[in-house]
Amino acid sequence: MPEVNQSTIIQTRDLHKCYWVGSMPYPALNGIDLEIHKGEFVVLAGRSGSGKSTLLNIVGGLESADRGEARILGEDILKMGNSQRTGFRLANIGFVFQAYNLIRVLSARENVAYVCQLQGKSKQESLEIANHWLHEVEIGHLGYRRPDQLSGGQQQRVAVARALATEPKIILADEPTANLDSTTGRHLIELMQRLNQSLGTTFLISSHDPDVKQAASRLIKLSDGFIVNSWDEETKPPVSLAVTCPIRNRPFGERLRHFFKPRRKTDQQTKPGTSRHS
Amino acid sequence: MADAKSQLNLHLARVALRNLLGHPRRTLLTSGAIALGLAALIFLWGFNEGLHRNMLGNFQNSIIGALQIHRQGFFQHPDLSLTITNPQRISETLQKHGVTRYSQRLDTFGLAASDHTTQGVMLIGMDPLNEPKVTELGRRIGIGRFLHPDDSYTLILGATTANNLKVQLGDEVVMIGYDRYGAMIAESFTLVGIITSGEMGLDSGMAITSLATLQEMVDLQGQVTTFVINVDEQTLPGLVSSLNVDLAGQQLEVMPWHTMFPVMKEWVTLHNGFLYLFLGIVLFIVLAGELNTLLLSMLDRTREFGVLMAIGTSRRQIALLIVVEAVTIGIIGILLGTLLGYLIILLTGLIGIDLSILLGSTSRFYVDPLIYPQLKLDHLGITASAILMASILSGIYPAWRASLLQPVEAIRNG
Repeated sequence: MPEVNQSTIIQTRDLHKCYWVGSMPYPALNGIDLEIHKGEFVVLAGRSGSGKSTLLNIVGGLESADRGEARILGEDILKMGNSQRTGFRLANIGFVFQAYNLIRVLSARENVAYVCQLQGKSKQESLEIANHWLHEVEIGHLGYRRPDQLSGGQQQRVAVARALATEPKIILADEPTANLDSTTGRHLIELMQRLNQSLGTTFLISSHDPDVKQAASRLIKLSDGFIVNSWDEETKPPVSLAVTCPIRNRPFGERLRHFFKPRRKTDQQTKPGTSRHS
Repeated sequence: MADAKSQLNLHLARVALRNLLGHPRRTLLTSGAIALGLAALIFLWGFNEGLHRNMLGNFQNSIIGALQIHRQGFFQHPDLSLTITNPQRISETLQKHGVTRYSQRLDTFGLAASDHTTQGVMLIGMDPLNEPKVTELGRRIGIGRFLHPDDSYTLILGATTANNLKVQLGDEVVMIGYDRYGAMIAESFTLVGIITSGEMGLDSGMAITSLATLQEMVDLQGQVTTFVINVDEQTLPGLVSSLNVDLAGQQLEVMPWHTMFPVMKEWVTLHNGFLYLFLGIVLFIVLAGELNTLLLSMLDRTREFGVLMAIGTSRRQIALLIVVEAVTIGIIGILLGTLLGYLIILLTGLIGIDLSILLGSTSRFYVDPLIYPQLKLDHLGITASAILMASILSGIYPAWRASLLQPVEAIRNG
């Protein structure tokens, strides 16, 4: 078992994840070793397809890895069952998504109160908590509005309030400013920074927004599924695609197609002397 | 904790209801389809019930009554040796059970003879005072009149028999038969009434005279062969059981109408069977329609389910959301359908449905031209419950599918 620092809140070891895009294997993470400490405001930076979202999803228990270890608050989230992960997420992790993803039929405060009710709190208590957090994110006066009556920035603030309402240890935010204009995005990041400092909640944010990168207490650069020190650093390809990209990750239809596809014999497999021209 | 859990379930139910309200057109279309199916079924059940009640009522009121009492074996082999020798005891028993609508008869076979021809008939002696309390035979006499208490040797024939004999009102008809000792007898009767019901059983092969006349003719004063009783369908089974107990050991047979004429009961059962088949078809349509709506709704909200799972909603709770939606759509449909069906029954029950346009003469089936639909609560209960079950079933598959979603896949592809 690897040594865990008391303040280490997220730790990954040799994390691998590969997707199949049609019949092509696509390695998203290639052995990520990562350690994030309590209260950090960490930004995962990198181009599209560098593995930021995949890493966030695995750390958040939304997705499994092919190989490696992901210890969150000392527990290996990859070894948990589905319902255990759901409970773990509810208790310890808050999510902020790029597309806000609020429940469209609930008001802002009901959206925030929803997660508190999932935790078993009473309706009244949940609504009080929701009001508190909506005030914290400076939209307390908009609590009765439904998502479609709020601007993008306001919706994202509701999403932040929802993420904070269960008082999680970690908040994972996947491109939280990508759908916002630069001013609104800057305000949102300032808000998240302020909450990080006042509450001590650890933030792990994936983004390629320069403002977000600038706000980071630590910037982790990802390129082709590797952590790099600088963008100029050359990344090495995975040792073997067959090892890093298990067939079980392949979509079922693709697996069937692959199974029934007629295999051609390669030149090396053809026995010498069987060729007409030999 | 249990309180918080029930509050959470309530909250999830509220989210499900908000989802339905958020898509009013979809919700109303699906509920409306269920409502129309249910209303159609309610109307069919009501029409069926009205038709059956009318038919059975007419059948019983025409001549057989709801219940008859004879000497053991008389119904199978009507013979004057099988008479009820002490009808007073049966009258007392019936009065003890509060039965007031009953009449006594003497039935035998005879030969009706006119100047032209003869025809075999069932000769029935009826009590002119009590018979109208039991049957509506008097109303089916199209020519002439029913028997009077002071009539003597008067006769009523069915229209077909009268035609065959070529007799008219006031003509003389000779009835030939056997008395209690087996000796041949012949008496002259005056024709006072002709039954023109249109029902084959009544219009042919039957001759009716007064009970006293026939008793005198066959020398069976004070004796009868049949008690005909008129009670409603609800009272009938209880009365049959009570009479069987009270009249036990007296060599009597207590026969409700469906024992005497089982084919009528079987016809009603068969007819109801067709309706159950129709119910099955409607249920299938409801199931398919609601399943389609819920699957579409599920596809539409795949991302939302993914997010709900990501923020801590369990798979069971996601499934619960969908099942609550399915049940709510079903309940709305059932309420609307019941209301609509009930209004249709109420309206058609007031004005009636004229079958003569479709069937021409309906009297041969013991059916009046106007049918008044009636709603029976147990039919409504069965139909509504079946539709509710179909709604729950139609929610289970989408709920199961939604509960299998992977949060990331759902958010990415939703």
